[in-house]
This record gives sequence, C-alpha cells and structure tokens, in this order.
Amino acid sequence: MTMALDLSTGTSDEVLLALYAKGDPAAARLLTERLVPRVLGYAARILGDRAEAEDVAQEAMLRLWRAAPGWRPGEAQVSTWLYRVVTNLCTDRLRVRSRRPATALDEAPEVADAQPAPVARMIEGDRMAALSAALATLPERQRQAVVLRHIEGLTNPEIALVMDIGIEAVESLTARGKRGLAMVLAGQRDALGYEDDANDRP
Amino acid sequence: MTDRELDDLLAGARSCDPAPSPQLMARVLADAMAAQPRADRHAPVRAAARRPGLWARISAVFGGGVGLAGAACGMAAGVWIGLSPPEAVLPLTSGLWPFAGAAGTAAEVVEMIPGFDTFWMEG
Repeated sequence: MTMALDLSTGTSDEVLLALYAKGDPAAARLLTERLVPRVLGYAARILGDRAEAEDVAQEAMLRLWRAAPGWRPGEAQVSTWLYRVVTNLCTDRLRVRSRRPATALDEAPEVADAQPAPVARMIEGDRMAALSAALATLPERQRQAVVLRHIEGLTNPEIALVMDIGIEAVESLTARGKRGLAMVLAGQRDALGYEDDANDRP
Repeated sequence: MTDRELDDLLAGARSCDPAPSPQLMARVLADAMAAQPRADRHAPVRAAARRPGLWARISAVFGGGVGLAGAACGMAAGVWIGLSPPEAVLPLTSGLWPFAGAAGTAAEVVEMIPGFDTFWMEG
C-alpha cells in the first residue's frame, strides 16, 4: 500500500491526485498545502479582495476534488487546470462587479497614493501594495497574463492553455501589461525607494 | 521604473504573499474529505450489518470449529456403539433395549399395523 511512501517530496500533483481518488487522506492534505497558497495568491491579485479570493480558492479546490475520480493521466497538468478554473471563477466575479457600478466604485482597489511617503518608511510591503494597486489598473486579461507569467511563473504555452488563447496573444498581453505597470509605477519610483538602487548600478 | 526594477518587483511578489488562514485550509480539507471516494467507506458498514451464515451460527453454538468437530466425533461414536455394541456393554443395555445386540441375534419384528390385504379378504 502507499502508506509507507513518503509523499511529501518529489511526488507530482497528478500522482497525489490519483492517490486521493483511491482514498488516501494524506494525499488530500499534501495537495491542499501545496496548491491552496498558489491558488489564493493568484485569485487575490486578480480580484484585489482577499475574502473573495478565499471563496474562489475553496470553490476551485472543491472542483478539483470532484474531478479527481475521472482525472485522465497525461491529459492536463493539475496546476494548469486549477489556474484555468480560478481564472474563470474570477472572471465571473468581476463581471458581477461590473454590473454593480456603485458597489464596484466602493470596492475598487485604491490606486497608488499620489503623495510620496518618506523614503525611510518605504518597505517591501509598500512596494507590494503599490504593485497590487498598479495591477488593479490593468485591463483584466492583461492583469491575468502578467500575473501568470511574472508572478506565478507559468510558461507562455501554459498561460495559453489557462486563458484559452494563442501563444502570440499571451506574449502581446504580457508585454502590454508590463508597459502599463511601468507607466503607473513610474510616478512613484522615488517614493518606492528605487532612486538609490538605480544610482548604485553602474 | 526600469524593466529590471519591475521584473524584481514582480518576482518578489509571490514570496510576499501572506499564508492562507488556518480556517481556509480547514475548510478546503473538509471539502476534500467529504468529496473523497473512499473505497473502505461502505465496506465496514456492510460487514457489520451482514448476518452470520448458518454454518457460522451452528459452529458458534458448539463453541467454534473445535467444539463442533468434537461433537461430531461423539455423535459418530454413539451411532457406532449403538449399531454394534461391545460384548461388555450388552448385559447393561439388553435390559433397557431388548432389541439391542448384534444384528439378527435378538431382534424381533412386531407388526403394529396389520397389512391391508387382511381387510380386503374379509370384505
């Protein structure tokens, strides 16, 4: 039986999912620990709302559990499949938001503060907050592509599968998305403490 | 902002994610347990509900297989002794059961119900 097998290292998501489908509770725990942080982080960046992202993460994982018995090996990567589910769930929620303009305005993430804070107070958290705010200003598809490529670390073919588009479209979306981010963040460069870093470089 | 600065910022974003709350992890794990197709989930229930078979119940009356085998041996010995008792036992049993004995030595046939042909003859 598989109980003696050390599942924590080197076991692929696909193998763990097959073990889960056979009734192994340890596989369920390991998949949860491995996948939920990624799914939650991605959903939070797309939605800009942590509580809503938790709901999406739970729903996506539930769909994975239900899909496990019928999972066909080699057909799709578990992580890619999961990112696709999360992308669709987020898109549905953003559409609902867009139909409620008053609420959407209230819930819209704050664009980065125009008043630069003192450089001494700028820490990594401030940079991340500025990045999140800048991401929120991007069109939805550009935001998805940039996050999947540059934060989640997926390859362009994987992103193409997740977003159900061609690889060239992925490249276009990520390039435009990065340009948009750079423009938004350019005005806060000094406030985010990048001035000294740039001067240090040759 | 330079491309390199932006790349560094994006690369560092993932490591800055706060960990999922224990409540979320518990909810996801509970969903997993509820949705998990466990092969052993129904088997013990069926085994517990199933009634033992006839052989098992008979065996249980005699205290298991060993007891049942002993009882069977005793029964077989009784039948054997009854059909052909040893000479030493005959004086004891002949008083109780006059037909006991070796086949053909003391057996008599008593017709308790006469044949019907007698009635036919008498009309």
